[in-house]
Amino acid sequence: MGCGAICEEFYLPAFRRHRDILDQLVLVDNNEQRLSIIKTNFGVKKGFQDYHEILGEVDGVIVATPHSSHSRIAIDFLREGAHVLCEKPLAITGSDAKDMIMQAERSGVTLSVNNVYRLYPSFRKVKELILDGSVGEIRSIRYLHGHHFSWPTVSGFYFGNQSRKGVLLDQGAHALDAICWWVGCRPDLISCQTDSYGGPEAQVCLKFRHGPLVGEAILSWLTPLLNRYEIDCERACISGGTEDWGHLTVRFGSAKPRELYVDGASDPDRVLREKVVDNFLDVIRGNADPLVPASKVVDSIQLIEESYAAAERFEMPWCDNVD
Amino acid sequence: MLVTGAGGFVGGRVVEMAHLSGFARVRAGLRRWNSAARVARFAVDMQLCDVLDQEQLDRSIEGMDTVIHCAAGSGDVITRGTANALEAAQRHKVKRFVHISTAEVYGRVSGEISETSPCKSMNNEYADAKIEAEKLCWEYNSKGLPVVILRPSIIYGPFSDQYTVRIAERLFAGGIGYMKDSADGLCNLVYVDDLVRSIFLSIRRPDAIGEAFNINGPEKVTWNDYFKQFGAALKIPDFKEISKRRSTAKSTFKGVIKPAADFIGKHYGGFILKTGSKIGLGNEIENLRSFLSATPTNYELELFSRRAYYTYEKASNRLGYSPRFDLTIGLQLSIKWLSHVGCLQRFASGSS
Repeated sequence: MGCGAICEEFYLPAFRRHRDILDQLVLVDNNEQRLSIIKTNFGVKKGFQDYHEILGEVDGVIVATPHSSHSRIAIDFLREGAHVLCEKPLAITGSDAKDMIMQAERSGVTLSVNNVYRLYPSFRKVKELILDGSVGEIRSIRYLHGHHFSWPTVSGFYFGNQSRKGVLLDQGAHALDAICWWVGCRPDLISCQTDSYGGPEAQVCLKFRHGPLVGEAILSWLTPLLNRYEIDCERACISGGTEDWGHLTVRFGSAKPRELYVDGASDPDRVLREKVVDNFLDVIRGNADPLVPASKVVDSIQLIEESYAAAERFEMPWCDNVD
Repeated sequence: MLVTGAGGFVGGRVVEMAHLSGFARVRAGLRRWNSAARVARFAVDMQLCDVLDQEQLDRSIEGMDTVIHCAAGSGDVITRGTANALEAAQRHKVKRFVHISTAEVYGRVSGEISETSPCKSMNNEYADAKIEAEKLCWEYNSKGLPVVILRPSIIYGPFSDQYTVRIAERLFAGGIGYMKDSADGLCNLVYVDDLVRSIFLSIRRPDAIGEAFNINGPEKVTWNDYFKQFGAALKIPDFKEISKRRSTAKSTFKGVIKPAADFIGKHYGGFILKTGSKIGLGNEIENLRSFLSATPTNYELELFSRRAYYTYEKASNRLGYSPRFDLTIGLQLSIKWLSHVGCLQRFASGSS
């Protein structure tokens, strides 16, 4: 579902290894020209502009459409008994996410989400260190992630009139999910500041707490940030790059930092997309459980929703001074 | 009004100010969707408007009575894009076409430069293309299209990659500092909001049509003044003094190795970084990258020592233009923005 950039750059290259599956694959996009180009480029035979034509005809669906349509489309397919793998963010609101999960349970199928950072060996190692107790309780988290927006979006839906939500929904779906996952629950929101003047925000700063833990996440579509996370725990500080596949640093007290190389894949992007697609095919065949079940990310979806509801604008004198 | 190049530094601010001040109903023309992040925050009308795509231009100009042509890029984008934009504007009978040119059209000059000074090539792709684009503007103006040309000098302020972000980064990295007689030329700084105000004035004033105007800031400062004041405002701990001999040698060295480094970086960058790190050369590679990034180019050294002042007297008399942002205020706002978007933290940490 959806022949945008993620379909072209992530999913379909991974399907190329499954010749037999390519023959059974169906592409759906409401843009006829785009559908035709993608079908031709990847040798897919079947394509439809309206997904209603294939409801009940498919056993698995990857929902890679604009964010606001995820829940509607996923629920339609789940109701018809198809397994669904949904692009991030799973949904716009917590209640949408819960509705999707309930429908999957009612239909006896799986609903999973492509929150890829949960599959990064470095992020998994962070979780492992926290769980095994060696670093102690988390005292603070700082997560900075930003780039010039460069995703080769085809439809521009991120910025269109249908969207009033920007980098928080887009990158926050990864960052806040990682934070909720590491903390083990949804922290309480303290404040949310954005640079929105009615359109999708390009920068956001979130402050949150959970008991004695305090945290901050800054996300940007405007400029590169330090692109690092720092987790200060009772006995150690864990840090790493927000895009680092297999490396992180742990420093116990005043000891020399230990560099941990937990995976040395030469092409992590390829490893990742093949892992996600292979798993979904196994899930459809009944041979595996989903890598990231939808229920795991509900906390972060709710935190995003709460943040938008509480959002205030940054003070930006360089912008507002326009008498 | 339509703003071409709305994803860029000047075009983005034109959209913001027009929208926030209520100056005009504004349509942001974007080359690609992925340059929309800044202007989309204002929920303004946005259209894909690649100036090399006549169909997109037509769709974007539809219903607009003014075009602010800020789109730039390679020489081809500047000349062919301007030709396309002028043609579309003519077809749609727009009432004002404001072309954002540059003071670089005067070439390597010195002394006080007014609009009567001739345009001179200096074998620079950007400046030469801007000269060609101006010629096209005059052609269309003579065919009845109401064209105004603005020639801003060095534009700085929030979102200026070239003269704000990169200067701050290089001040932190030590690539520029107090450069003595290498940077004693006049800087001709104009804060972006002053330029945008001049654009708005050039739309409103009937006697602006068919004229070119220099747009400059309120003060005569040298590049060294700019670097010193910027460095002081940034509280750079180790503000460097760089001799002419040293800066010339570094820039010449950069001129020789940069093309090769760019080629290698583009094709083998990932591999080299990974392998370099593994064999313990990570720091050396990073130092070379940092040197290449921080050192001024030969073109910049020439610019830094140019003793030209672009007078804005004509804009003052004819448009009522009066720049409001002196360097102190312009830098204050720029630094607040640099801090807000995380640049200062990044530069101070040594990452780029």
